Amino acid sequence: MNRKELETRYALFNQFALQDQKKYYKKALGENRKAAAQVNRLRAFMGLMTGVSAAIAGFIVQTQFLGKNSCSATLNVPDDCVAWRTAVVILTVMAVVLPAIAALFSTLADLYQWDKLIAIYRSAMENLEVADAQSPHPQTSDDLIFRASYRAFVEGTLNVMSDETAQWGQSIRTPQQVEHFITEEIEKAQRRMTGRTDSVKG
Amino acid sequence: MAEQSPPVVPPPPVPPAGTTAPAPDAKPISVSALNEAPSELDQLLGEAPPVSQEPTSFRKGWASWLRQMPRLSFPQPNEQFELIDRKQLIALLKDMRADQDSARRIVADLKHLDVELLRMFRERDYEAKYQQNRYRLYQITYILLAALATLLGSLLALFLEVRPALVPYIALGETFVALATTYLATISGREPAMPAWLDNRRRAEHLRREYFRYLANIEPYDEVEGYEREMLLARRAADINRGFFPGLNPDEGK
Repeated sequence: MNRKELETRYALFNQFALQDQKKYYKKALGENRKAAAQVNRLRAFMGLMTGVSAAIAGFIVQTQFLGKNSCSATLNVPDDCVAWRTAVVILTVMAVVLPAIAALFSTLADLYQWDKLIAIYRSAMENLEVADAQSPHPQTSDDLIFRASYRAFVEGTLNVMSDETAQWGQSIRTPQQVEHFITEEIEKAQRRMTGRTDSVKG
Repeated sequence: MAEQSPPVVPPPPVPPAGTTAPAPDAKPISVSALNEAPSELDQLLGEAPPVSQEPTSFRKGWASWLRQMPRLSFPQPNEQFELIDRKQLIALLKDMRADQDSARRIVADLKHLDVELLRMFRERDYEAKYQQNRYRLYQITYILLAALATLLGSLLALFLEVRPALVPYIALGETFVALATTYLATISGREPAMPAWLDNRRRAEHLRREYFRYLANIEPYDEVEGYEREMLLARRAADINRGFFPGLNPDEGK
């Protein structure tokens, strides 16, 4: 293979393997960063709203349901008690529902492993820069040197791609919460089907 | 990235003192090239997203985490998918001013890759995406069921004193969640999605690397020529496709 063809193949590999891979890592890094941040914000928001709901419910109970002329009294019940009772029920249900939604987002983060993927793609991008630094210079007059650095550049790029795939594969795990949940629910279903109830909660 | 020559050939640059002289065939590079309008190749490559079978318009404008959620109906495979876009390839060969013989050999390599490797890559890549979607669909359904079970359990505890009349309904709901989970665990147990996803992805990525190894003509493809080189690719691609990775298996060649 002559020098000109080697240069053309280098340009092809550089463009369609290395640069394309760089674009992919950059895109994946950005997407995973955004997804991790968005889900974390949602989780934090659910936690915050749980606390706020519980605090307001407690406040309403203390101010409207304690004392002689409060909503809990048997005589002289104020007119707005229906509204206060409804508010307490809604806030209590929110304080119960929101942590369940927050837990859903936590398990989602465990399923997608965004933080681990961010670390893998960042490291792969940095390693790809090292491989890129080995790229042969078109002004290298010695064909042997050009060939050697071309080979190092290609092998280096392919190795980074290979390492990233291996690390990515190791990061994929089924969340433990999901595995426990499946085991528990199957046991629960078996108990129900065989007529054993154990407890009300089951 | 490869230095790209400007559309008009500039005068040969004078190398600065202390540097090696350019090779006779090396592309001339001038500082003025940096200020020139982007070439057709720059325009094509600058806008191009990374190569993927996934359409770039998929869930455009959605939040990132929602974009990664699984689909309920998975699209058909794209039989026209290529690892190298032909328009970009032609633009690059023109830009490189590749000689006829080199261009012919590269195009012949690409045609051979299409026949011997790319079809397997397309299948593996598609299957990996399909299994990934399947795995995530099951897992997210489990997560939703778990959230529902937690919710029902909390409501049960809440209503036990406040509204005991609701307790049997909530308990019934819990039973349905347990039955739905058992049903899902039974149907997802056949051909588990995660190992199939990981296995297909591993093979697809190995095939992708082999594609570029052949195109770059590095070891072991630089040691043979002609039909032997083509046969070597066919053999290695078939091995990778069956999960036997050349160079990684200790029993290779036995």
